Amino acid sequence: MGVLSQALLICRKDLKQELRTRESFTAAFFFALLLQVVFSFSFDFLDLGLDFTEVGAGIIWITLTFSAILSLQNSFLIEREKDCLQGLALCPADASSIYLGKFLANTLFILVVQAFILPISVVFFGYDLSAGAAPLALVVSVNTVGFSALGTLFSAMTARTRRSELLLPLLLFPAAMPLVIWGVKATRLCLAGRRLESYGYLVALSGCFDVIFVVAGILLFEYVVED
Amino acid sequence: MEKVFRRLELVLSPLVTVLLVVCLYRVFRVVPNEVTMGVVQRIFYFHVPSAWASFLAFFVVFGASVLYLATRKPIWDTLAHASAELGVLFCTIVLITGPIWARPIWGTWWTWEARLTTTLILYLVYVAYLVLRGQAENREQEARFASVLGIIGFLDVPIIYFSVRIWRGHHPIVFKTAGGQGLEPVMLTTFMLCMLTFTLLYALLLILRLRLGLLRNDLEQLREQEQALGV
Repeated sequence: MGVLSQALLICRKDLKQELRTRESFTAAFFFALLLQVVFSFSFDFLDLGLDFTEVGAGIIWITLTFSAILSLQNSFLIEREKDCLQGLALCPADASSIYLGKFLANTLFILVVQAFILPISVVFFGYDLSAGAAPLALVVSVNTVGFSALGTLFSAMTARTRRSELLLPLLLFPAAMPLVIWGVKATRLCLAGRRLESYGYLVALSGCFDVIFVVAGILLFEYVVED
Repeated sequence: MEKVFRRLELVLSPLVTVLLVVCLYRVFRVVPNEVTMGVVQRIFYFHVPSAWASFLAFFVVFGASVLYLATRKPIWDTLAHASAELGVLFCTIVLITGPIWARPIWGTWWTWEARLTTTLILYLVYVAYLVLRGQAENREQEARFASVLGIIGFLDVPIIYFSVRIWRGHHPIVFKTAGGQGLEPVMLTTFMLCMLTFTLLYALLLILRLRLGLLRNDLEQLREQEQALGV
């Protein structure tokens, strides 16, 4: 069996588990919803006369990355129960295919949450996304891939440490900072109604980040799961 | 190995002590005031060498991490740990001296400019690295996880710098005279001397910290043996 088909099997396993329990989605989605409420009070749009297109990019990215942390954390915490981690390590699959499978499943989970949260943010904050919907989806997906690539690697490590919940954000946020920076900047231009050409280079940079860290993840994952 | 470290230590400690005194003397008594910034510019004789030492330290973490994963010799892991601690130490100096300079010159303690922001993010990456080390379940796992993060962290350095640069403008070029003829020779020699001193200081501290780490490894091994024997 090739690496890719093994990866797809592992991804399918995670999807099946998620469909049956809906743990990851429920937590991430409602946390994201909660963040939107917090933001609506933190930035009083009506009273302060703030324009969502000016501060919205930051709100969107904090919501997306903070809720994504929950999905990523869950990805390997579920494997800790009943020693599934060991089972995974023992199964006749390459470490790289385990990584790829987990990475695919995580990316998918995060994207699904985002697909629900972004339209809701349009409702809550009343901005116009009709023209920018497709480019925004592109920006969000490209940045999510990199975030999930690093997050999957780190989550596999932190799930084995003593205080896993504590560590993942601490490791992931600084390392993934370039994605947040490019993501926020591209999103801001997108919300301002600029054409994709004017921020396409940011998406391309995030794409390069994705490639670098997916490859790094594939190469380094075997050192994470070997025990 | 132990002997080599001891000898290096014996050579380096007096050398670094003397050099540090010479540096202090030159920085405060010999070099002239910078034309536009005045006396506060002198902080750069320590600021820049610290920045250099911290980047060097993080590079050593990267190299030692790769070597550990390739060879699995504990000494590389101990070296990476020692260097990461020193990197964070020098980085702290950079982050403290920077704002002291910025306050009178830029009129603000902090600005989200490329190099400042990169240094801060890097600092956070390597602080996380040290926290991760403290949370591992056993030594071997700690070494592996830390190596992975040491590699990822260093890959991130140029990317983070590049990303913040796209976001915001540039760092000042601090060593320039008003006429634009470049650096005053006495300033340049002092600066170079400070760079050398800080590099040697880093090397000395690294050797001390590495030896401490190796002794700790030995002690742990002895304890394990003791337990195995049931003494």
